[in-house]
Amino acid sequence: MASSSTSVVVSNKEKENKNTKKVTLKSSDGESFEVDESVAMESQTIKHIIEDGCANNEIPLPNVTSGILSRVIEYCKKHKEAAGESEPSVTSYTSNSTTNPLTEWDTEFVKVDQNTLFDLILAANYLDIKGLLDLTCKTVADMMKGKTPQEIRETFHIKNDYTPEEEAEVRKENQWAFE
Amino acid sequence: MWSNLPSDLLANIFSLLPPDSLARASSSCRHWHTCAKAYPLSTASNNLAWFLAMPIQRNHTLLSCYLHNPILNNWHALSLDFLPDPVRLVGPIGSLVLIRPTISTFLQLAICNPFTRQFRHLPMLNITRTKPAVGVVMVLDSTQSVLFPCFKVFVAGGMSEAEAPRRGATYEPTLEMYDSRRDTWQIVGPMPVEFAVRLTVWTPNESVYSKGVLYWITSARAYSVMGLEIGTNTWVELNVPMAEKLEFATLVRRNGVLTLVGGICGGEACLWELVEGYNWRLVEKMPIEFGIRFLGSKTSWGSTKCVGSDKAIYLYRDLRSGMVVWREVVDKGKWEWFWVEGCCSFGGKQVQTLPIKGVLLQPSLAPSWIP
Repeated sequence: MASSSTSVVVSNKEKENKNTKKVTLKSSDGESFEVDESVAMESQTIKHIIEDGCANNEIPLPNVTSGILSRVIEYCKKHKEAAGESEPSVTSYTSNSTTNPLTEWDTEFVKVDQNTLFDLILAANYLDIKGLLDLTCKTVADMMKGKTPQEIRETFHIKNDYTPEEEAEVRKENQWAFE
Repeated sequence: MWSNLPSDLLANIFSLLPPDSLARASSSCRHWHTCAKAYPLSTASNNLAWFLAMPIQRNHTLLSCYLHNPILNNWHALSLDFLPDPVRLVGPIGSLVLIRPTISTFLQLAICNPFTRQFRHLPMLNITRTKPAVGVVMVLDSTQSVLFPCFKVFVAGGMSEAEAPRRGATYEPTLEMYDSRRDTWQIVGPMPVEFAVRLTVWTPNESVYSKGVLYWITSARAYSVMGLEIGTNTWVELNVPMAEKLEFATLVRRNGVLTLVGGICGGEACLWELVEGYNWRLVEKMPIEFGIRFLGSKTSWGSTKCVGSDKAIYLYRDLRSGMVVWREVVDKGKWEWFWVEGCCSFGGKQVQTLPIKGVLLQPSLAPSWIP
């Protein structure tokens, strides 16, 4: 982690004469992460905090644990690098897998356990990082495709809170999908 | 854990699911069920339009229609027992279907969503007429909300009732418009009589809206295209390439551009695009092997029908025969031809050879606001 952040800082200094500013993000469990401001601004939430001048020294993120925050930062760094020095908006994220070189990296990035995936979705939503939110939601959607309701319950550990009669009613609504 | 995911995030995930997967996911628990019904499927391009085949049966209430799943390439049967009257399909309005109850010879229109089993009559027109042309214009584009569909329906021409015992019915040279936001019809104004006559005599099939103009093509040879420029209420007439030689001709919209699909007598099926100056440019021909397979034992294109959405064009005949599809393959960024097997049997039972009218629809499992 430390070495990779150093190399990012060096390359940014070579390329830019601004934006070597850093911010510190503090996770819910008290760990601090120093990142380039431009990387942190991949998060619209953080971007607004900085632009409103409320950043001071540290930005507390009470909804994100250190484990998740470090992964989120990893995502933002990777995507910021790929987008180049232009705006921090998510220009690199396209749905066309044949032209997007980040697709493979993204696929590996979301190969995590369900708890982590769940927390990443919530974090991406809270921090307003569109690319990460789209990626994690798509991953979950792909896990749902083609499954029967029972298979979905098993995959996602969902309790069936329907009585057999209620479940039959609900299936009847979309009977066509069960044939 | 997952059953407690906030509704807006769950809805986001659901918007990425094709309708059959969403239908099954929504049956897993109460929270997911509520969420699936409350939030609409996004109309993003990752959700393909589905081909819905409505059997054409005179004066019988339809029992089912048939759906083709373009991803898994299989058929589903969808019950239509919620329809109160026998209907004919007019055309799609996003996720809804515009239909015409057939019990009356005078035009009456209704809308329905076959997935949510919603049905509603539109108000009566200002001027009673038979066999007018009907056209649909979506008011907003991809930002449009499925829950509050905004659209306009234009009715042009037709024959009005006889005014007095001795006088016959006459052509009705007026244009009326329905606005879904106001839920009312208003008379837009007069229209040239010759267009009213042509549209009535040739009772066109679906309309196509492209670049501010609503187009109809006559239903038989000699084909010609009539267009209503919505903003200025002016009419145009266009010639059609090989008008005398086409055995079928349909208008579709492909990537926003008006496209003519036609089958040449003794020849291939071709597609032309309307380009600058109201000229037609040949853009594609159906590969011969698909044409042979499609025609089967038939020697003419005569019974061919066609529908299109911006991203796909389907040529079909009846329920059991196969279809030829020309569709944009998103990952490759180009259009390719596919063969689709017809719906021959269902649940172990043979399906009858029914004549059908097809429509391409964005399925929505969320009930729309249809007052």
